[in-house]
Amino acid sequence: MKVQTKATQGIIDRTSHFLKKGVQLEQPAWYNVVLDNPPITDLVKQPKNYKSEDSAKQVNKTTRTNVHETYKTRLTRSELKLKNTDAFRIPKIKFFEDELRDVFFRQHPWELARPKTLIETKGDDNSKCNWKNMLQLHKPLDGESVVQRTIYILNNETKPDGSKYSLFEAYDSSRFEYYKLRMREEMESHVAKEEAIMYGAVFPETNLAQNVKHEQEYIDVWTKVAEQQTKMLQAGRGSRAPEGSVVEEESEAGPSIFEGFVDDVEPEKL
Amino acid sequence: MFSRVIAKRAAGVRLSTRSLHRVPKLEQHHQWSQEGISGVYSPEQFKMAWTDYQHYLLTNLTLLTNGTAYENKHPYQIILQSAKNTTDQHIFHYASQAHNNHLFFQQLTSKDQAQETRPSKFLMQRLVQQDIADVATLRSKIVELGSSTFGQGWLFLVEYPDKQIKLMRTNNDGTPYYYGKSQVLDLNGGVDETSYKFVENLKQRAANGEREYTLPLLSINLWDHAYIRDYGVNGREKYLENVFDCIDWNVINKRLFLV
Amino acid sequence: MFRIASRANTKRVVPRLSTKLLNSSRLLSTFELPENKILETIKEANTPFEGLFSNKAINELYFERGQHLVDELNRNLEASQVTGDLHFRGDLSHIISKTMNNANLYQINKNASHLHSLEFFFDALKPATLAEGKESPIQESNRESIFETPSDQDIETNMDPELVSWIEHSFGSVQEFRNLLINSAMGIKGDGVVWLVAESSMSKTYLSDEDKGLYHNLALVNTYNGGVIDGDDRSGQMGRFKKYLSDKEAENKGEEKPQEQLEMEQEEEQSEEQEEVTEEQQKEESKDSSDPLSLGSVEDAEYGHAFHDKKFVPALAIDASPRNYLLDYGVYGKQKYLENLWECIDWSIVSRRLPPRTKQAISNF
Repeated sequence: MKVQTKATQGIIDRTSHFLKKGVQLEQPAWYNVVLDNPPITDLVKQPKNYKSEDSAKQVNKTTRTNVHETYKTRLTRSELKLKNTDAFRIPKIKFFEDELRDVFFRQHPWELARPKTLIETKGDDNSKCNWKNMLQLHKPLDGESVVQRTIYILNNETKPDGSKYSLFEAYDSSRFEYYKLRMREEMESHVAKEEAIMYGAVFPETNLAQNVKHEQEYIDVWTKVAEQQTKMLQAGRGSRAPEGSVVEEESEAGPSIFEGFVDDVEPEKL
Repeated sequence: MFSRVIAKRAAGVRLSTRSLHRVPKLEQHHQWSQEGISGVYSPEQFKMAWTDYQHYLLTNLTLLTNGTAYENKHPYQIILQSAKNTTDQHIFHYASQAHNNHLFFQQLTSKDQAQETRPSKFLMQRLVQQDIADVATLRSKIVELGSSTFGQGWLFLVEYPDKQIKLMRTNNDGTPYYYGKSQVLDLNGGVDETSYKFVENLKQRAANGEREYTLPLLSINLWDHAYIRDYGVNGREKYLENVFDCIDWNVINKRLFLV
Repeated sequence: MFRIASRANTKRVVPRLSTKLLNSSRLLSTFELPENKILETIKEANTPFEGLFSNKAINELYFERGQHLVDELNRNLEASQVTGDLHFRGDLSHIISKTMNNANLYQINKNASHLHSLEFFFDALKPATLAEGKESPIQESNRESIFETPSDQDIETNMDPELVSWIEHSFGSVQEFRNLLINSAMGIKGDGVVWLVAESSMSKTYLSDEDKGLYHNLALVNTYNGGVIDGDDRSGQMGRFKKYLSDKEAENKGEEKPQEQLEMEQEEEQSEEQEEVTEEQQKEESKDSSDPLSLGSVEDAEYGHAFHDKKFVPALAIDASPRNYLLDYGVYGKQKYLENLWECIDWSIVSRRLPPRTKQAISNF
């Protein structure tokens, strides 16, 4: 097996660079060790594409008659060899739904901005849903509804003339159902507000002001993170660090993990 | 008391469970859906005003709150949280209606039983301060205020933080729990100076973030859903007279804060 | 000006001598329930309003409720006459705008405006013609209908091509218009009406009184609890409120002013506006206390732009109040009711109510 450098190259490269530029002052304990003994196996698992014939593949059992009455006492070398090495590879799981999701969210990128709860009580929420209609009692209306409804239409519904829906037609029909429900909900929200105001309701602040305030909280956090990242970028100018190696931070996660290091650096060195 | 099945707490760990709003169980639900509430409702009208309407409200509430911050909250909590949010007023509507309607049906009972109960002395003492000397006066005041109301709404007997008890009529889905959403005005025609100043005052209070401590004691449904099948479109007055006679005052007396 | 229903004979204003007053020469208007031939035939023949209402519902919604409103209106008009505050003559819309901003005349105003919307709503309806053997669509909706997705396929109307082209210009397509109309009505929770209006393309400031305005755009407007589309009064509120502000300033300086000027009339739209202006004033006084967040919001701008100084001519009223669907369609039936209602709109009357369309490239202001 050839020496795998890919897995560790990035971190060695980057640490070396930081050490050189003084972003990181002390050599980490593992540095020399990893440099001298790079791992020989590729730690990145490559996914395996399952094909339908794989599972259907039958082990060819050829039965030979034992003419010489000899008995096998040990396995041959080739028999000892591990044959099914594929078993250690992660299968690449492919779902039809994923393609639909991909199409939908590519067409409606802002749908991804809707907050989504990932927790389910028992993990079987979808089994409670009946996709005869798009609105579900057990599930918020979102892009996933379009996907599930498309599949339902494909499998269960026929056009008025009795013919089956094509994938494209089913997706379109479910997409428009989604638009209609969203339009109704949005209108309901607008009208409800207007109606309330006409009966003398008052609101402490408008939703715009509320949003601006809310946004500002995140901007404040982000300003700090951005400051760190700018320093990092400046330090990294001209380096060979691989693309994407600049640490990407979630604003929620607070400042960069390199914060401590950067703070120690005197401004002149940057 | 309320309808949302709430996550159980197990050994201090809060399990986040998704749940649905379901119609709360009334003690006499079975009997009422068979026979109606004697003195005020036929079984059909009871079905419309409670069984169907409450189901309609809570199902819509579930549909709108699924996957949102309101998901695991009681209608009462949703009222308080959505009241100030301009874009959540439709959610507020369903929560507020469901809560008010539940308050309303909790206090109903058949006429015979209702006639045996009466407002506590304590309650009447407070009402006297508002020139309501006896139950008959209260009744006529409620009937008059309710039947002169245009459109949908609720009638409440509310207790203010200063212990005063007053009648409050809220339009549409107005709630007594937050002054900004009590909707006691009707600005659909013109606006006179009094209501203009009233709104300005509310705005000032809202801007100052003032809090509300008003509590409802009695709630009466003025929505068409509550009477149209039995009493017809013009039947609000007759309905109010009947419904007043079916109020179980024991329930109301208990709602009064007694300290 | 205000357009009353299409048929000239629908409203009969019967002037008669007031017997209760000493000054018997003063004329008093009393009203009768407006005549609606279609509905009266239905009432006599004891048949349903095909495609929309049962006979019982028509009786309740139009005859019972209408009569109640008329009686209340007459009673209150008479009472106000007795107290001698004001006296009213003329048609309904005149009375509505006269009583609009006076709390004492609230009952008159409400009864009159409700009566007006009732008439306007029913006048543009005609029974649908049902296909042979087709089930009547007047049916109570069940619980499952909450989950149903509204359908907007196969929409056929008998609109004349001109109206279709105007609708397509203003809303995109008849389908989109229908969706918007039904969604607006679905959004209304309590009593309320969705109006199809022609919107004047110029603000009223630039129009003289006789000028009918140029109508270039159609729009949908909601009113609640008997509110009326009253272009004149709505737009006038803006001017009155400005006057009020200046009066208020004068008052602050210790000057006296007539009581009626104090009477502040304004709709909520303008009160939002007011907030903005007041803030600006405060800003002028003390620039330090300015809060960048409370600068006029989009809402303020919307309100300011959408309503004030625009003249509206209503052409269609869709009553979305609960009573209309509760009787025949039940608690769950609002969507179904509105879909059926769409089938029963008499578009020829809508076309007739609309002012002549002006095609022009420049809109607004």
